[in-house]
Amino acid sequence: MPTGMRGQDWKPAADAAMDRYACGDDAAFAELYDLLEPRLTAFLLRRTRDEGRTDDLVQQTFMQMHCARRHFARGAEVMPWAFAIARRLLIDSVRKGGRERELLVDDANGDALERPCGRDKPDSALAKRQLARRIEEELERMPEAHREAFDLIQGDGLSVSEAAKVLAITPTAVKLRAHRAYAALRERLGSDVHELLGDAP
Amino acid sequence: MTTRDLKARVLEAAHGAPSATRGTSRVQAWLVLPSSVIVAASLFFALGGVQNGQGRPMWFYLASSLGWGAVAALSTWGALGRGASATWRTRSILVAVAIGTPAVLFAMMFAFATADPELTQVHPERLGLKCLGLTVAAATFPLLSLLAVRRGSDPVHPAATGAALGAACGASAGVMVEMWCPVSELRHVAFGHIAPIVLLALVGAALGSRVLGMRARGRR
Repeated sequence: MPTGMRGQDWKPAADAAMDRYACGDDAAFAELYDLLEPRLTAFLLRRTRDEGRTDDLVQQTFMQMHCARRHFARGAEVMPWAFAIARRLLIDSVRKGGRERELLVDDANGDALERPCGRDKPDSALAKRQLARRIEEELERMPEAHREAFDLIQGDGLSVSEAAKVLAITPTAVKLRAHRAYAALRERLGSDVHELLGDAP
Repeated sequence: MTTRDLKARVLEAAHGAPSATRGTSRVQAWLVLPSSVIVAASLFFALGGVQNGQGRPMWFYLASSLGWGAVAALSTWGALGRGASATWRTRSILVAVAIGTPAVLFAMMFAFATADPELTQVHPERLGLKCLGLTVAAATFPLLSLLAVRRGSDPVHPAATGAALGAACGASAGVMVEMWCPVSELRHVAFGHIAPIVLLALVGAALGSRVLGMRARGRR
């Protein structure tokens, strides 16, 4: 199954499927859906914490991709494009709903930035959970541009180049913004940040 | 809703709303170029063509026309090209095209006027309303056509893309106007030749944010 692809293996397959779809191979859309849907759902669910809204936004993202398939450039990467569309639709839906920023809200069921810690002792797991929560709080206070770059790389696992395409800025600007966010976190929360997040981008 | 239900809904919705493929879009995009040239050439010859632009030294006529042509080509490449990226140019490049195109063109005309001040003595009384109108008239067709061809294509910065397209179309139309207009006085150049590019960039930004963007729709 395509959804079972590990690591980065699925990306060339998704790019090829989108390329075929842009050329008129309608059957490629189902394949593309299987490859992208889990990533898009995770990307949107992390920000909405609402399965109903996430489903709606995933559906709208795929419909926009379908309507705009003619604009997909040969040899382009589909994931940054899909994430950019999903991000645009999410921003629009938040604005339309008149809601304040609801991205990255605290969640009692687990924090987005928290890494799997199955082998940790309960005390350690609790400390990590608390640190992750503090990171979320600190991220809320940062400039949106820094937070977005940091979040796409750390939270969604995008490369610097992919995040640059989602945000339509240069990779250097993404690195700078993410690094500033990371530096601010380390300044406020100390070196524990490094343990949870790893090296700065 | 299960993942399978959602997939079925998405595929059904896509099946029920056919969309154009890359081949169709490419044909449309390529049709814009000759159509725009025909529209601009028709206006040019209808208003007197090259004869109307006489009165300036040949070196200036050639240098200014080639200079405008080079800037217009660069601007068009900056606004329309995207390499192998699905998210078009970065915002900084598009803004640079929108702001830089009129700025570079005015700087070029200022340099010519400084090099040969006598050039500015030909019809200095003309404000440039005809040139402004002609530039806007020649640029409107390609701008609207490109916006239509690219509708719903930009999820990131549709206003910046629209502004860059407006500036590129204005600069391209300006090549024809530069060949047609005999006046090189700087106020005339600023009002009749540069201002319409700025105006088209602003109109492009306004239309781009409405036409080029991908908007959320109601729940299905």
